[in-house]
Amino acid sequence: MSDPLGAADAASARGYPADGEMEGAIAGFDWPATPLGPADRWSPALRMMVRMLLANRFPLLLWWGPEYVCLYNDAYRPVLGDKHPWALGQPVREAWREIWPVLKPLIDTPFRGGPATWDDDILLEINRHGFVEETHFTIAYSPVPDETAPGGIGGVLATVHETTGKVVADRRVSVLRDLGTRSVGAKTAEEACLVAAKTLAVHAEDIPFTLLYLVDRDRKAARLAAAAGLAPGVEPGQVLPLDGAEASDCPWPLAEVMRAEAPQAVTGLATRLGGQVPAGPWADPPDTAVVIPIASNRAGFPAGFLVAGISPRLALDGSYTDFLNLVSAQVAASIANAREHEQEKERMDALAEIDQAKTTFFANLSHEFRTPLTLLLSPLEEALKDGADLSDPSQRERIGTAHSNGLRLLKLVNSLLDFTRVDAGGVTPAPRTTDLAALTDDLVSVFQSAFDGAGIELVTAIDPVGMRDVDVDMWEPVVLNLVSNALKYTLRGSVRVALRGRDDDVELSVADTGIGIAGDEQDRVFERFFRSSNEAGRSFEGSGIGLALVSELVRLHGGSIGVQSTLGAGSTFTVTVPARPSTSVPAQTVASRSSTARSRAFAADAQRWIDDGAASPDPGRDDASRAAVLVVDDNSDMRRYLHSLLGTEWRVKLASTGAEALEAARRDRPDVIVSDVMMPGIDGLHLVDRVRADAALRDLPVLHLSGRAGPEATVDGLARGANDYLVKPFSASELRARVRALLQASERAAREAQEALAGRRRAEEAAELSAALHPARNLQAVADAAFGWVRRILGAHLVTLSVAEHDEPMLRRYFAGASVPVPAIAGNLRVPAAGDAPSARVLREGTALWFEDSGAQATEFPALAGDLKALGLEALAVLPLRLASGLPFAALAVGWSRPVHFDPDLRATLERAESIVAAAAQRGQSLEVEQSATRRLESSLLAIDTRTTRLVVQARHQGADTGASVGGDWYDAVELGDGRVAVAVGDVVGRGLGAVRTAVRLRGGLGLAVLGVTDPTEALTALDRYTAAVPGAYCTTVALAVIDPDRAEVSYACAGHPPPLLVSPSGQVTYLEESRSWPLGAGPGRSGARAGRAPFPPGSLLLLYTDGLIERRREPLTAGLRRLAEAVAGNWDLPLRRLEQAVFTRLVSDGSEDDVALVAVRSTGAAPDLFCDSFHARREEQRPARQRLRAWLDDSGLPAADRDAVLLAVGEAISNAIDHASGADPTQIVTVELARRGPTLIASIGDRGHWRPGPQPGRGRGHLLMSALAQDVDINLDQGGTVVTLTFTHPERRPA
Amino acid sequence: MTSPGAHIERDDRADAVIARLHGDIDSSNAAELLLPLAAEAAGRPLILALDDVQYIDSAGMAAIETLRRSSELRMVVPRESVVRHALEIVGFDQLIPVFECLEDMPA
Repeated sequence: MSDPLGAADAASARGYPADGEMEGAIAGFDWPATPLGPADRWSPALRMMVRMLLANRFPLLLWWGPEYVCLYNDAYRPVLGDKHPWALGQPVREAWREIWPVLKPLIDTPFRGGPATWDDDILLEINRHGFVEETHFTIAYSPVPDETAPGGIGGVLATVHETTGKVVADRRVSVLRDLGTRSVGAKTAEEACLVAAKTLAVHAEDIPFTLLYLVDRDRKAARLAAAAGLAPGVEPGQVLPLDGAEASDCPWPLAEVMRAEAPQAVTGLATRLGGQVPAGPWADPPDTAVVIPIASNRAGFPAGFLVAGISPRLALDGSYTDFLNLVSAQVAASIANAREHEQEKERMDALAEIDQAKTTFFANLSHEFRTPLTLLLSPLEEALKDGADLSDPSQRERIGTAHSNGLRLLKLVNSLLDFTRVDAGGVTPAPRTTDLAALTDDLVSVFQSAFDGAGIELVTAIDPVGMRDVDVDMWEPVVLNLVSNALKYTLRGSVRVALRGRDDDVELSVADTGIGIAGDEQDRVFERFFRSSNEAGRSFEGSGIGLALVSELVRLHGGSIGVQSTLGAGSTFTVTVPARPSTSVPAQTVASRSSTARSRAFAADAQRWIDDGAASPDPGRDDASRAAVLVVDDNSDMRRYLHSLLGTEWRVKLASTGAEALEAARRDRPDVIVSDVMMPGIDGLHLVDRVRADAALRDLPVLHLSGRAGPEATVDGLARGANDYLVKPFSASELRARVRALLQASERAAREAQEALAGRRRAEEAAELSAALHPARNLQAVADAAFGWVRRILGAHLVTLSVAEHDEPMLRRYFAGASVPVPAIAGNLRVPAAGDAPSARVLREGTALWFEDSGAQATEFPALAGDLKALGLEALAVLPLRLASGLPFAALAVGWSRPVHFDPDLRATLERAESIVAAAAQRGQSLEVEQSATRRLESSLLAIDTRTTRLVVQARHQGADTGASVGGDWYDAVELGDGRVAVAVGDVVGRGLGAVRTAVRLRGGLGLAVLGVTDPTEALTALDRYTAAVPGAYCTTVALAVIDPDRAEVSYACAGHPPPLLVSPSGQVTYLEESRSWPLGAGPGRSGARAGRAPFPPGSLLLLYTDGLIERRREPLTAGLRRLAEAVAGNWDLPLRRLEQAVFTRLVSDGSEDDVALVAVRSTGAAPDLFCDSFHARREEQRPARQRLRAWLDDSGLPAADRDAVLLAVGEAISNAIDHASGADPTQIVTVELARRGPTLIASIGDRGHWRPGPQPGRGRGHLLMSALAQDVDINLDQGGTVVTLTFTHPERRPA
Repeated sequence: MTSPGAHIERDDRADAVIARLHGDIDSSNAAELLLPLAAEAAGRPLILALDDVQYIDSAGMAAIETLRRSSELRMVVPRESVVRHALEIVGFDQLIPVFECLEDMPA
């Protein structure tokens, strides 16, 4: 037959083989049966167009004639799918029946002389693979002139470019970004689900309906928390059981998904649910849904489940699944954040409740105080007035002290009561008509004598504001507190009290020339219990509630309070309260009785601060033979009291401040110091510091007195070096006893020195133990380190660490010893926490147990003697290890193979060790928990699962040896569906769980972004955008390469990442250094950037890696790059696994400070000394694979017998590999790599399947064959699969 | 050289069944090709001619091993062939009488 179309010419002109299918199809088509008629009668225009069409590699479609008969080229065939070859010669309304209404106007316009039509990313729902599919195209339809046609236009040429991958990927990235942005602030897990459902409802193209279930605390049921589109039979709030018989009746396989911890697809939704599920934007509902576990931070305990409807318009492929997993990860993150927030709120609520209870308690208590105080004060007052019986001045002084302190207590109780009433909301303003100026004047004047005594001028400027309606019970404490406060903090100068009336308000201001308040503290002085950190006032006494009370009272009465202050210059407090002028007669013109008592209490308190503050001359017998006690207290009553208590026995010296005491002690060294803790200036704690820092005073005993009880205060003082501690109130005899004891102790100076030596030894031992435990990152390492120490210091033979497990009532045990008999511990690695093992008992009761020999306490622990014997032990000490809260969480047992007497020294040493080991064990335990979570995530980052047979991909990763926390390295290889494969390596800033989480999300994001783009730079741009929504992603570096085996080309782009390394099939090594730019999110966008390109013919090798491979300290990066290039140049031809081994041996054998990741990719094919092949793990694939190998061997120049040996051995390995891999998944791949180096041939056969243990028919024989034929057979099994490496040395001399 | 799909030619004689195999014998076809021969031999001696076999792997040998248990088996395998070499390695030449060609075989 002739070639009327000139198709052969066209084919030869462009250098393509003439057997392109469409050429044949068009040439051989029965055109006479179509409106176009026989091909040899076609117009020149049509013939020219058909030639052009066939010669073009871009998808082109020609619609010819008024019927728009279809003609198309080879590149257009994928667009047609199953419609090819039927569509050839069909009118377009038949060929594209399902989208004819959309296409018609677009074709008609150019055909009828209108302009060319064009549309970007148009959505077309076409049926080319047996289902109606969502596709997107960029199309351009242009008229084709033809003189012979009636309208001058013969047809329409369609240029089409399918953009489905890109449109869908962009859409998914924006879904993930929206989810990330919107779900940030969710306060509860339910809210997180609602926000997620709402967001997903907007993007229903990919997920037509969404159900979000939350798992309850017991993991017994899952409740529907939110939904976007409800499926039939699914109600809001629906609860589904997760175990028991009913679980199997659920619409969703939640229990199975939870067990498998993996997503599961469910099909036949309409049948399963008995109705139509929501269809989203599509005309028909989904038939498939995927149930995905929403991860929590506990393995096997998902936070919930995501049930996602699958678009009926898309195939559920790998990128769809990746997308759903990322959606689930996003929801998981948002739920985890919300859960943390919920817990925080619960804690706050609990605190508020406690606070309320405390307020009530204080209110009751304060009230109860007042009655006995009144009954105490009245008789004292009377005794003082009625001076007749108090002829003895010392008796009078005692009663005076009792009285003034009784008044002070009353003041405190009053304040407390006022405060608690305000707090409990029990105060309502009760204004009464009052002569406010007179009342204020009265209140201020009670301080007059105290001001006089202190030498501070009291200035009043009280305007006659007249009769005002004001709550006297509020006004009094406000005035009294402000004035007494001013006196307290003013050491020289004056205090000015002013009152002014303004219409319906009055303004009170109290200005002092005192110490002032620092700027950052001015906002806080009205907070409860706030005490300025740098007080240098007259007294440190006080409760920190005065100003807070004033502020609350003023606020309750609708007024305001403010402070202006300059540090060192003074403060002015200004109060404004509503006080309407009144014309009515006041009910009471003077202060009430209770207010009189109140103001007297304030005045008495103030008086006490300004009593003679200087050290009193010693009134007692100044007998040098008696020991000297230096008493330091800022309270004059207290000083007097202490003097009277101690003066009978010792020489007493007095000081009113820390500075004074220090000076006195340096002048004349006392034998003991008794010091108050809370004092202005140098307080008791600082005093100890100074004393200990002074060579002459260093060993001077110090006794602290404080009103602050509680272990923290005690520890504070003792930690700073105080020798003893007494909490007020204390009894006279107790104080004397303590001082006596301190003096006796200081007399034993010699022995003390010795003990100091022992103390130093103990401290050194403790430091050694801490140092030994420091690097321990898990509990076994803690046990080992603890053992090393107790063996050396105490001669012990065994250590056991028993730790309570998190989720089960069991103790897990870690043994460490010089020789631990394995059979003895085998059954003892876990014991019940409720059992009678000594460690279980110690954990329950929190007290140590001591067994001096194997017979000790045999009745209480019947099993113990046997256990000790099995371990070769005689004596055992078991100590609780405690959390900071004091709760025991583990038990440390130390054993000896001889009887031991646990004297106090030994016990003390062990008890000291206990707290150090406890801290290390806690750290070890939490690291173990974090590590296991991190490792799980990390393993998903570092798995590569491509099914391409065009490339062989091999990755290797090594964690840093600096610690247990893992880095943010990741890599991935993604098939792009058209034969191209994207390979990426990335490095997230930082380490640990957070970095790994970020890496997981970025890896998934890149996997999506890279689909549908033609240039790697575009994918990095998409990832830049995604980075904004991923915490911690900023400044991640990425190297991305897209390999196109059809074009034998690699395109690549690096975002701040070191350059990929390319090796040609002949072994030439180059770095790919074009297209380098800044890390993700860091630069000004990548709009100008272009990807680099390089040839990548079969046998080419590409290496991507993280900087840990090339970086060394104190070395420029170029040196690392050179080292890598050299290592690769010497090993490039080896099978990839061997190559990576060699590179790691050369570059990181001495360990790396960073994680190291390396991905090697080789294009399959043959080169003279290199053979690289990959195929699916199906048995029928092995013959073609052997044929390819045979062809390469035939060209190799090896003797025929050697070629046979290689073929037989490699064939066996291939057969084995197919059996492993296909057992797991027949779409898995098997790789075969051979390298020839002179007389040596190395072959690696790899699969990603799992080794199935147990004999396989013929396997033993297969191994026998391989061993006989190859000089070395190495079989390497790991989680990634199996690699068999065969080495044929001197293959020309095989055994006969 | 390419290898055609494996197949068997049978010569069903009264005193023996001669099965001549062609192509590669591996795990994808060994059982399917070889195991039915046991029934066909029906007690007669079975002669496997492997002179046109380019490759045999351990799965093929496992199938031969099975045949050996049910039938009186002889094989024709030329020296210096891949198959002969493979059979020698696993010791089949010691278990089963092997001949250079059909003509060498005693009747």
